[in-house]
Amino acid sequence: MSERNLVPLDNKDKLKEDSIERLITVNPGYEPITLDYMPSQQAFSASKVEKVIYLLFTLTTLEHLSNSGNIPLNICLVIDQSSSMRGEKLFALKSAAKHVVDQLANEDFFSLISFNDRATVVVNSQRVDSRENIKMLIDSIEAKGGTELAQGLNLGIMEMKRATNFTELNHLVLFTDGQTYGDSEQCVYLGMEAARNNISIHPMGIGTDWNEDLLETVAAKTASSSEFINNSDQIAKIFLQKITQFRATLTNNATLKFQAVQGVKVRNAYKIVPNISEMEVIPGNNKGESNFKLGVMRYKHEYKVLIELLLPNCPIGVFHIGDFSVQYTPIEAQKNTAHLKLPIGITITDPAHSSPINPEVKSILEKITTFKLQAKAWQDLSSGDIENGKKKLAAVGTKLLNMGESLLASQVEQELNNLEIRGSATPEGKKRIKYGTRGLTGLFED
Amino acid sequence: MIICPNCGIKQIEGTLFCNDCGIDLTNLEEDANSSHDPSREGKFTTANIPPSNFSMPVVSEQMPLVTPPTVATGPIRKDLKLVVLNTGRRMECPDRSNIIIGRSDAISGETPDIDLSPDDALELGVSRRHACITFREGIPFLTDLGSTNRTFINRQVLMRGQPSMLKDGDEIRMGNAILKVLFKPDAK
Repeated sequence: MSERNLVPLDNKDKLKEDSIERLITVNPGYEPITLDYMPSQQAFSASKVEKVIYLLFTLTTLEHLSNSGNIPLNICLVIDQSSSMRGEKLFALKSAAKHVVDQLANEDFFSLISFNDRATVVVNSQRVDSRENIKMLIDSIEAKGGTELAQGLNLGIMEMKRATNFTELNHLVLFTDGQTYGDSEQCVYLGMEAARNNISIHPMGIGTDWNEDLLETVAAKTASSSEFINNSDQIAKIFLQKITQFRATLTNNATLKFQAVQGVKVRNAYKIVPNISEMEVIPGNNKGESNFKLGVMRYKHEYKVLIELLLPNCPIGVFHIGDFSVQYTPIEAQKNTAHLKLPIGITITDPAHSSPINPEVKSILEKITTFKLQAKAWQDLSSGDIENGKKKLAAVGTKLLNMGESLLASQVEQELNNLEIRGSATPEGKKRIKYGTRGLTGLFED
Repeated sequence: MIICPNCGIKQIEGTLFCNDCGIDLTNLEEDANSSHDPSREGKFTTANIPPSNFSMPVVSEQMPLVTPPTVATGPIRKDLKLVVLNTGRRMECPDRSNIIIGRSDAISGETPDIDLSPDDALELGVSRRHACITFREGIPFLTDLGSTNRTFINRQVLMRGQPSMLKDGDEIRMGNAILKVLFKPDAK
């Protein structure tokens, strides 16, 4: 694209911070989200050809107002009770579930589904006012049979729908340790069904045999993500953390919007916190409009999103390249949609005077690159391109070593050895590398 | 467009990391924007050696050996020189597409292309076949061959078996032996 589309600004002051437009204020004097951005360079070098630039967005949410109402949680626990769960895993899971029941408020809703070849409602959707009875029912679960995930998800969603009219905080937490057979498509469909009913699905894979690609796809349908639990001892801690996070929800439906000026395009977008994930670029109704689903945002938290933009050409000057905005409905004010708008301007200068690359943006981008590279390595390996897969995995290891991630790097080295000797990587190593590189930006998480 | 020096795939201008092999492309832009400083050449003494953070190197040779990579797809660099900062010894690189660096082995009688034995390689923790230099389109790459005490470029550790680009002025550390890379960079 050689056509010159960028138009210099008449007035550079337009881009100053105070030009942030707040279209609707939900609660006058109280703005729960602030939006800021940092370009990869303060001044980019001029270019006559298409050029990529990076923008790092930070969305900061304030503390929850102390006088606001308490919204009940609607929690459904879907537990894999197949025979592989027998022993330590099921024991730890039941114990964690009972602990969670103790932590829930009387106004919260709780239900529990267990599944093997078929699904059973162990605790039907109810307010948590009969704790001992619920705990007794949890104790009655026994491990037997196979794993048919769709059965469990379906019954879980049905049970949750009985309480979705009473709250906006609907979370289905799924624990499984195995592969599901023949119902993957149905699981993905159920992910979409959950999203339609405002239910988030949080899959937790225990051990190494579960299908992380399927669970991640199902979670992504509800703007959530899967987690890898390597050790049964971690179940209670992670589960309780989740409950605390659910309760701190500010909004379920935040969306980052970009209205580009003519010629500017979005190449990629990544969510950085809590984990690295590629965001789907959803075209908006207007020409040049792109939307990125942020999903759930919690109070007192920092979210980061990295966006890669393509500029058609870059003559010297200061340019308005588009407007970013955040749209969200706070769960405490369901009728009011808030909208923060931030115009984006960049400076383009003579190549001799371009500024250095911002180290934070570069560091985040390197972590994203490492995460993407390992994903490509597994793709190459699964398609039989062993040499390229090994090369990419070796490059991942080098990057990890240079980041100081020596434990993860030695895992990569071990899997390279496994590939050399056995011709394949171990499922455990693959999961550790995948979830480890995905969490490289975890330092931003509280 | 930028061409990635590692995998040769075209990348859009401004790309910071290669989308195909992940290599850091920012040095290319910085190199293009900054002129070469000739005062950096030829002034190395042992006084320049940074203090070592390493404990006494291990000289075991039990680590898995890595096959030298086959990345030689173009002309080699005849002006590539290495200076051993520990001793001040300056070496021209042999006219080969695959240059093994290490120390000679009296038992097997094997001698690497660049032999660091005269620089007390054994005491410094250099393996017999420590690393190798290969070339792609005239650009030298350094690969650790599974050495016991690892190879570093500018204090960044190399993954075993993974070629890393060498630039003029780079400092290579093998165990506790430190080598400076010298060659005339191509005009861009």
